[in-house]
Amino acid sequence: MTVITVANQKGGVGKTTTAVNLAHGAAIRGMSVLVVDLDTQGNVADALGMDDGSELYSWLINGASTDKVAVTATGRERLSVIRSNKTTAQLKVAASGMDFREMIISNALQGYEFDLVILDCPPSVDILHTAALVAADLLIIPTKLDQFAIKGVIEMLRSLDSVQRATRSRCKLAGIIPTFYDKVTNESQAQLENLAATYGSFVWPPVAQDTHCRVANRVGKTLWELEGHPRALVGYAECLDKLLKII
Amino acid sequence: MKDANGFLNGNLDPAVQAALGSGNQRRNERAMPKKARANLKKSQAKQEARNGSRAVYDLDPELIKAIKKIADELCTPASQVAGIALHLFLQAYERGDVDPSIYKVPLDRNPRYEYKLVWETD
Repeated sequence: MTVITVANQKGGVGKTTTAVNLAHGAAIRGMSVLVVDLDTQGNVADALGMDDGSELYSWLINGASTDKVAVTATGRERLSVIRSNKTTAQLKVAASGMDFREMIISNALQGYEFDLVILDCPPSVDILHTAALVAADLLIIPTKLDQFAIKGVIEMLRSLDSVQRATRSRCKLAGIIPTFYDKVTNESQAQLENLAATYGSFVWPPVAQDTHCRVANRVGKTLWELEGHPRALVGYAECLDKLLKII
Repeated sequence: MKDANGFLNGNLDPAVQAALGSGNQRRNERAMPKKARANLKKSQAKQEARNGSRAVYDLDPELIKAIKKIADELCTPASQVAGIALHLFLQAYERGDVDPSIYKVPLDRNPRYEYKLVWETD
């Protein structure tokens, strides 16, 4: 089982879109995949066209087993989800009083065998964010090609470093996915060059800015399920290839 | 190639390299004066024609639509469908299974051609 955290401390960079599309892509290729939504916004359920709800509290605080809480009725074969919503805010309060709270996700995942677990992190730095980094084997950082989002990448790598030093986390950077890539603007290009010069082979294929992503969120489908040929899917398919080579 | 931690290392990802390469080319073109950019486009078009991989034919819009429809069904570019269709036609032509000359209609006052080929739908 490989646990992957998708995180960036900047919001709106495509974390949920990345998590959901990589997860569904891996499920289509035959892997059993669990997506865990750690964000109070609960957008994973929206992105998959599922009803609002949250299993996170009973999973992490009440100790319910993964196979009982994971929703398998996602309408996609081999893809299960643990949803989140506003009640996750209460979870954070409850978790703050627990011993070894950084371990809550890794403990909850013990003994369950999915091929791939993808943790979709909130943009804020909180207990779930840290717990996700502790539980993960690999970190994927989606980033928009703008200054603020790239600053988020730097902050994220600092967080990873801190977590690695403070805990026994095995989490390592897998890759940085440039999202909302707009090939005709100089700024996108300049930021991609900067990213490539700084992080080299850790920079994964860019995902094109594509209205299909917004359409997919509206209709509750992944890019793999949309009609037509979403440009963004080209990038996600290449990133998935890259991910499957690593794990 | 993977390093000790199992990570792929070495050069930039080819997709990133391609994005950077084409971006630089576009940026250089944008920085050119308008006239130079027009000249470059012209010479690029000539180069493509010289490569022999591109041709422009006047076709019936219905034919273009039909090829596009097949291309969508096959999830492939229309050029690929047109290419296969032409291969099939050329093979049939070489075997003598088709005779385009039956579609010939004389042209009046055309300095270059004597006939056009007219496809009768009925």
